[in-house]
Parts: sequence; structure tokens; C-alpha cells
Amino acid sequence: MTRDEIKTKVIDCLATTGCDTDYLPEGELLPNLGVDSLMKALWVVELERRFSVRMPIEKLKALGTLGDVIATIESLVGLLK
Amino acid sequence: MMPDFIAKKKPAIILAEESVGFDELHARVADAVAGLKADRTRLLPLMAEKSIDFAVRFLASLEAGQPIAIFSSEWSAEERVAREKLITGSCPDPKTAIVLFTSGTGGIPKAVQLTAEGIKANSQAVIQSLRFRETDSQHLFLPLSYSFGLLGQLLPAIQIGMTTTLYSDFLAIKPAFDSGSIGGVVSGVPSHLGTLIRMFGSVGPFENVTHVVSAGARLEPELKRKLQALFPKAILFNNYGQTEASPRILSMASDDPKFFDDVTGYPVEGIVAKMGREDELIVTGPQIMSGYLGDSMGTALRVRDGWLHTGDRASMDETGLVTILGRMDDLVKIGGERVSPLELERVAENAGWASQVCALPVEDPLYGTRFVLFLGAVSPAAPADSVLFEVLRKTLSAAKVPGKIIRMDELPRNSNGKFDRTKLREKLKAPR
Repeated sequence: MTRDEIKTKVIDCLATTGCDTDYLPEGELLPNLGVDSLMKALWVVELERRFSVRMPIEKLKALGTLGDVIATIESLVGLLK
Repeated sequence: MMPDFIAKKKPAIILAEESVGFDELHARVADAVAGLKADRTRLLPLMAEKSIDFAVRFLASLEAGQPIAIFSSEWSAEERVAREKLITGSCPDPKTAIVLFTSGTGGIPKAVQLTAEGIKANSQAVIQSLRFRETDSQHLFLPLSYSFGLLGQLLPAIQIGMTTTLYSDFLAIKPAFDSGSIGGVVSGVPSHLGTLIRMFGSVGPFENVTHVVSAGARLEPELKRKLQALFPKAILFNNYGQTEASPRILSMASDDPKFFDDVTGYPVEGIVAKMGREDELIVTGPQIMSGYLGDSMGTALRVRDGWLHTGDRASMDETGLVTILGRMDDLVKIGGERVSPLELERVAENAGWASQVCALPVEDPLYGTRFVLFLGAVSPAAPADSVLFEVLRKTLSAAKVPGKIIRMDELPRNSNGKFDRTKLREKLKAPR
């Protein structure tokens, strides 16, 4: 799976939480993009389901930006290979 | 002074990277009290953090009689400045122990002064109504700048000798659910509890959870039933409160035969409730605030002859069971926070994006309620929606930011010239 494919799927997952996904610069902090704690929680669950991964607590804490989420999924999917 | 019934070595507070036992917590509080020269004429600002240091400072201030004002790191710079202004230059009431901030009507925040007597009465009421003596631990992710988290859950737990595991935020509790190690008391606003069901409905049930506590907004009957399925061994507690009442006012447990109906609860210990004019719920008791700091007019509107006028319409049956029916003003509850559409509308108006602005609360599957911002006669210079959202998110707390922005040539008006909210709602239903 390419990084662009991961990014598309990550944003698809976020859309299921009700977040407006039209404007999502990768480096912006998630709260500034309207992703609050409830959305983030639902997002993580959807990511885990669709990518068949489990995010450990230290990964959850590090999810500050969309870029962090993509990088985390990349590393977890990579670990599964 | 630590009561004898509390096990000294038992953990009082557990965080991800540190914990403290009751004996050490009480020793640290005693040290802090000894080093604190209480000055009842000034408020000490205290940033609410999920840390043992915050708990020590908070408890020491209470014990030493040093009035404190609780701040939140989640506020925007503008929100923090507005609150700092409220406490600058105003001398707190002699009985004030804590100042907590609420959004207030019209988007103007209020500094609620609570007394030591009221806080103590609230703790006793919480311990009794939530049956804290029947459990020995709780998991708490609610912010500690919020009366529900700080005075409604953390303080009573410390006073009764319960262990509290503090989580930095809502998501941080996920691993505890994933591992099945969650037990004791879990508390949240209905949006949190609904999200737990969406997250773990297929993973549960969680049989070690003994108490599920809801407050901050209406808990719908369907959500009550889903919660009972996810936590089959737990007693559910539906609560209603206001910061101005320290905060708990009504409570009800799921072993009451009427719990799963659309009802709210019974007055807690210390609170007397009755119906005022136009079916407004009014309450009295030691828990009621001493007043809003620097706002005697606002205080006089809310507290009359010792009775707090809640601003909520309600009904009460012959057994004293109260059902909250809604607000008497335009305020709405979003994610547990009472917010006014006026604040959002003012930000949009002041930004000059449109000459017609209307924020409408609509049902939302995640938050219960959320604003939609309608803009009419939009300025040609108004930036794209993504930029509008960016500005709103930097200016307002999350609950006040709309879920959607809709631009129209002209906002519809009724015969009085006011924006026609019915037609705006129809616009939401129409295919776009």
C-alpha cells in the first residue's frame, strides 16, 4: 500500500466521525482542524478496524497531526508485513 | 487530616507515569498548607491539570482557606483573557473557596463563586447519591476545570478514600477498555458514553464496571438501555447539575423502576427543589453559589431569597421526581458545555464575513446538538469555508464551533423581520 493510498484511507476513516475533511493540512494540530477527543477516539477505532492494526498507548499519545496518524499507520502496517 | 477509615497505603490518584497513596497525598497537602499564607482577599489562579501536583495545590488551597480560580488549558487565548478580566480587580466574597467559570448567557463568561460549605455539602450528596461507599475505584477522563470532573467526581472520591485513575483525555482510556481491565466507576457526559458504545459495543460487555455516571446533558432512554447492555453489572446514574449549585442538583439510579423512562432525577441530599413561575426549576440548599464575582446584577437575576433559578423548564411528579424539559432561554448544551449561539454569531459578525448571520442548533449523532452557521449576503471578500473554520477554531472552544457553514444569498425572515429558523431548518433537510 502506497503512502497516498494510506492517506486516502485515513481521511476516509476520519470522515466517518462527522469531521469536515475538505481542509486537512498534514502538519496542523488536530484540534485546530476541528478533530476533538470524541472524533479522535472514533477515528482510531475505525483506523484499527480498516487497517487491522492495534495502536498501542504510546502511539495514541503521539497523534498530534494528520501526518502523525499517517506515519503511525505506515509503521504499523509495515510491522505486519 | 486523613480520616481513619481510609487505607493509608491505598493509591489515591493514579496517572500514566506516577501515582500517590493517600498517606503521601495527605502529607504533601499538609506541607503545602504549612507553606501557604492564605489571603482571602485575592484569588489564586490555578491551571487544572491531570497531575498530582494540581491535586495537592487544589486540596491545600481548600484546607488553608485560600480562594482559587480554576483555569483550563483548553481555552483559547481570547477565552482565557476574558476570564482573567473577570477576576482582576474584584475582591472575592469572604466565603468563596473556589471560582469556576461558566460560558454564561450571551456568550459572556461568568465567574461562579462557590463556598467551602457548599463544596462539602456537594461531596456528601455525591457520595450518597452515587453510592461511592459501594466501590473503591474510578476512571476519570473528564477535564478538571469542569465542575462535574473536579467537584462532582474527583473531590468526593478523595474524601471517601476511593482510588482515582486520571486519564489525560477521553482517548487515553481506550487501552483500559481494550485490555478489559476497566472496573469501578466510569463517568462522562452523554456524548462520551455514546462514543464508548460506538467504540466498544462489539467488544463488551464490561462486567467489572460497577457504576456508570452520566451528567452534563440529557441522557436519552435509548442510550440508557444501550449503556446497560455494555455494562450489564453496573448501576447507571443519571444526574443533573449546574456549576452554580456546586454542581449536583438531581440524581437517579437505574434500580429505580422509572429510570429508563425519559426522566431526570430526584433532588440530592441538601437540595430542595420546587417549581417556579413558567415551570422553571428553582432549588435551594447549602450548595448554592455565593454569587457571580463582580456581577451583582447577574447574581440577583439567578439567586433570589436563597433560591437558584436554574433557567431550565421542568416538571415534578408527586414523588419529587423531576424531568428537565429544556432551557427557558436560547442556551443549548453541546458536549456537556452550556453555550449560546450569540457568541458564535458575534465572532462571525465581527469578522465581517456576511451581513446576515444566524447560528442554529441542530441534532447531531455525536454531540447530541451542534451549531450550523448560516451566512447570508456574504461579503465578496469572505474567505473560503476552510479559512472560516480555521478562524472559528482559533477563537472559540470546540463546542461552539459549528459542524457546518451554509452560505445563502439571503437568509429567510419571518413577518417580524427576524431570521426564520423554521425555513432555515427546512434548508438543512433539502437536498443540496
